Amino acid sequence: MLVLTRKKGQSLNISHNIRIILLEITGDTVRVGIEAPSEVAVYRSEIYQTLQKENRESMASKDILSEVRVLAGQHRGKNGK
Amino acid sequence: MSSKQNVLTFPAGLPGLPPELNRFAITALSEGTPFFLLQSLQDDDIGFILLNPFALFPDYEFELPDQEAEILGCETPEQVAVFCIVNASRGLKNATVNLLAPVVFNTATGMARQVVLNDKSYSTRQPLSRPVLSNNGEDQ
Repeated sequence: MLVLTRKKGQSLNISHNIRIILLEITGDTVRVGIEAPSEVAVYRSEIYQTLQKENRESMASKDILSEVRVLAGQHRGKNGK
Repeated sequence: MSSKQNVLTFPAGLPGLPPELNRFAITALSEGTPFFLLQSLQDDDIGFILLNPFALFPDYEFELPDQEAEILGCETPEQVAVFCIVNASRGLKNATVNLLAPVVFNTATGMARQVVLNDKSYSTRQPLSRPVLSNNGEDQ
């Protein structure tokens, strides 16, 4: 892991299109500003791990998918606007 | 294929999925239900059930952070569509829905993101069968 020291108000660049700014430091809390393009996902790590797990678990099983496709297909067939 | 399909593109992918799986079709499951199929266009075996959260949780509300609206390119509220991912892995009776991190997309462009709300009163596992307890309405 690369380790850098920065002060309040300073920033760092990751690659050519991501910039992290240290906005505010109060006690053991740091407020960070992030500038990143839309294809870069930015999440707090704890919630990212929760979402990874939840999304993987939420993927519909093959059985459910095939049942649901029938429903969606019928709907489209009846109602194709 | 069908004219009723809407294609969503997730430029940043979805957490937990391979990043290259970023194009999905969204289709209503049947007329009048709030449930939708989110089908990967790159892998037939990958799909999610989505819920229109406002149909079952009329009090559901949040403010889309400005930077998210900007990334999605939403200029008017009418361009914003919101769906929540259903987790039925423990059976339909025990199905839950992720109200904390809805899928938000621009209906004009199909640009989509899974957004995490700042509101701690919403859960990633809200039982489908139980309404959200409303927080006194007027707090803050």
